[in-house]
Amino acid sequence: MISGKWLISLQCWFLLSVLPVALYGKVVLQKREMGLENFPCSECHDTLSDGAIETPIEGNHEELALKHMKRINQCTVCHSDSNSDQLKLLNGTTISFDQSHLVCIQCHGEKGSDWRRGIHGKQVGSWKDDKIRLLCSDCHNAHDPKFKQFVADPPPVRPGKHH
Amino acid sequence: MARYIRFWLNMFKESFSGSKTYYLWVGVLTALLLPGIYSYYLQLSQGLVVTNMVDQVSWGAYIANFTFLVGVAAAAVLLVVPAYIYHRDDVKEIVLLGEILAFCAMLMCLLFIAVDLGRPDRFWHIIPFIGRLNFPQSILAWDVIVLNGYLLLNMHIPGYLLYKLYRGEQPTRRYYMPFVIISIFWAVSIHTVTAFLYSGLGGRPFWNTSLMAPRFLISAFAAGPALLIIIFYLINRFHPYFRVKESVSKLLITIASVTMPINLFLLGSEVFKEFYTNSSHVASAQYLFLGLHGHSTLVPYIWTAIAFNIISTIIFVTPVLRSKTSWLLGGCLLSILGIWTEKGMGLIIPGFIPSPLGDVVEYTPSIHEFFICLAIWAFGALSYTVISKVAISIVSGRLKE
Amino acid sequence: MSENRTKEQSTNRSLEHRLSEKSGQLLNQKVKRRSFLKGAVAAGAAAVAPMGTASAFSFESFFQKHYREMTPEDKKKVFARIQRELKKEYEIEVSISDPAPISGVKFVYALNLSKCNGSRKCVTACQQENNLPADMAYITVLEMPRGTMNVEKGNRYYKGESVPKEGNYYLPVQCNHCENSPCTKVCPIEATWKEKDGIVVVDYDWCIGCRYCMAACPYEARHFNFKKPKLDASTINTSQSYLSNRVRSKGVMEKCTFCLQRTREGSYPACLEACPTGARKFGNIYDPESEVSQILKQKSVFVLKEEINTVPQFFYYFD
Repeated sequence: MISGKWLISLQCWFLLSVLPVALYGKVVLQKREMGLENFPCSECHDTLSDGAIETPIEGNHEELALKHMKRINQCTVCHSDSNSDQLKLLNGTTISFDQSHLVCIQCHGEKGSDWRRGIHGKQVGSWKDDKIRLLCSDCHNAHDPKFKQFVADPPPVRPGKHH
Repeated sequence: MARYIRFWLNMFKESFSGSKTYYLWVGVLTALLLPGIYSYYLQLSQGLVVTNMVDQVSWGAYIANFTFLVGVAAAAVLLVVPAYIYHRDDVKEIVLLGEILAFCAMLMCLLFIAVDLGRPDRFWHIIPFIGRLNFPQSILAWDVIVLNGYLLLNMHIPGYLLYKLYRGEQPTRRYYMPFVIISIFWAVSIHTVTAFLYSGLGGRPFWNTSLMAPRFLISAFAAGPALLIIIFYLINRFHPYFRVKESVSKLLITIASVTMPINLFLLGSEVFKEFYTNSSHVASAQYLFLGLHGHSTLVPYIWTAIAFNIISTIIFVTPVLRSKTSWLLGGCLLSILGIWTEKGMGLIIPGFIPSPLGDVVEYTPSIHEFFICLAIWAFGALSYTVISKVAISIVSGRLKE
Repeated sequence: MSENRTKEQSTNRSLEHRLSEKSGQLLNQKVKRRSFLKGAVAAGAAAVAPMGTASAFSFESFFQKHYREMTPEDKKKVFARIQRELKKEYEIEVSISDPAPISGVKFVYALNLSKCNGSRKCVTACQQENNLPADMAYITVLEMPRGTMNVEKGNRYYKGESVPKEGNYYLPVQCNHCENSPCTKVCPIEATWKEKDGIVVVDYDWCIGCRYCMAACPYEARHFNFKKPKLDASTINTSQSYLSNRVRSKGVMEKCTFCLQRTREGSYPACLEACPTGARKFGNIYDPESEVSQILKQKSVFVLKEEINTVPQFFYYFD
């Protein structure tokens, strides 16, 4: 068996070769999988059932709201049903969490192409050396992707008399 | 050299001799310097925070007074031209008083600029060749040159003539006439350049008008004669023996009777353009004349100023009224106050309101700005009184070698 | 209802947290290494500087040359003096860097107005990075009613319980680093100029504080130190550069420098890294693959007050 790590690095290599590489440095995708290291989904879920679910889900996923869109109402639209530590594309291919954007751009193609150009989304790191490109789910909650309202930082002080 | 030093010593001594009225006047002016000096000390130690200027309104009373006084300085040319070019003897007798006024006004201008600086200790950065004057790019660099140049011209011409008179010698024409000719054009240039300071800024639509320079000159040629008429009246009233001929005031009032209406006409043209076009750039004019979003500090001032200008214009153009001394002096005072308001605060402050990003922050001078301005005016009046007193003594032959 | 909102806000905060943590990790590594090196250099310089120079420094600073006339030797002395002064006043060790423009690089900023949510995170990050006192900010965020592009209709004082507010969009304005910059044109003493990489800088030690540039700027990008800036020694960013975020004195002008202390070293500006929506994009316009090049190619961008012909290098777009 090929170990998970091997698979990830293979996929990373594949992705990087496909993505346009900047003259001044390369673009590295933000990793997602590390976050799951301590609590892999497979700890609790061997498989995922593909029936429609109601939110809030009782138990450990109380916080989870499934407000993506009306017809996305089951876990297995995006999560692999056979390997809960993996995601799944619509054509059945399983992919790692590090490639979660591939799930998103199945529908959001236009945003995806903007994202690939560095227009949509956020890139950190260095503008001239290596850029770290955040994935869709770094900013959007995949289960409830619409951006929420923020509390803004304080406004400037209206100038009055200094005294 | 020793002679020259004695000349200065004699002048210095002369400045301390005078009537009780003279001492009282000089004493009052000196006293007025004190609160200003204290306020400036505070400004130096704490920064311009003691003024009411802020990021949105970054120029205030200092620059407003500066602008008006450049006009006063330029107005001296109204005596220079008839005296040196048309050889009017009555004007020739007092032309030095006009040049000294230009000199004192210039001193005040430079003081107003100096107190407006955040870092006056770095003044040497603007000295050509020693500092890094951004010439010819920056209009302020031009202003540095023309203002200081005008100061020097008006220091040299009366200075040279007075020295020669003091020594009882005939002045050599080629030592002063070329400078007189230059000073005529230079006078126009100082106010033009000062207008271009404002009108060259694309980001301030209220100032970005080609009428700015003509308005500046015309209003200077209106307020300047008015001020000279008042000064000459005061000299005739208080000076023990020297008298300015009435024909000089007649000439000046004739000039003002032409320039005052033109000034009103130019103001009207601006008002028409702003309000008839009614583009989004009208906001500043709206703030000045009508108030903007409930902010209307300047509105009463500008309407009072316009009323003053209209009343004084009527007095100046009506023979029955202007021939009466009290009416004439009243008219002169009103036109000075009117123009001072209109082209001082009435021009500078609305340029900042609303700010380029739409903020409306109002401005009124702080108590420290008030005292500093007062002190500079007092300093100007003081130096004019003293210098012209000494000059009169020399011209009338009482002070000589 | 209110419960719902607090919940939303809490998830939101966790998102912010996540974001800042991510970029923070990357940042810290960089900054730490850099400031350590600088610190070592600074310590060395301080040791070499002769004792008792403190009494002579007012003379020294009075006759200090314009930045562009300084030799490397002059710079060394000046930077050491600045370090000494800050050490004396705030008891902090700072590094004063002087990164030069990188050849072949011209900086451009692009901002997606469809994404900006008016959270002012950029404003705060900028204040921290650039050692700004609480009452000064390089970025003004305007709350604009939908249906107008006239900045004079904006409101900068909006309170942000929850932004974006219905019916508004948010327009952050900072220095546009204009090609045809009116501020540098009017400065009487060349105390402010445009660098090769497009950044408009101020020599704080040369500025006389006449505020003409402020009157000339159509974007309110310039800010004047009416008083000595009030800074908390514990929050001062000690990684400073001469032309950008070093501590300013009273009576001088200052402005956004695209964080040149960071960007000339390859980092992104602080405002970009703080932006929670990814609305801010920065990069080298000569690099065809840079985000900003891509945006200028793909999006219909515009600039503020184009009619004044200042030719800003700060572009806005909706998508």
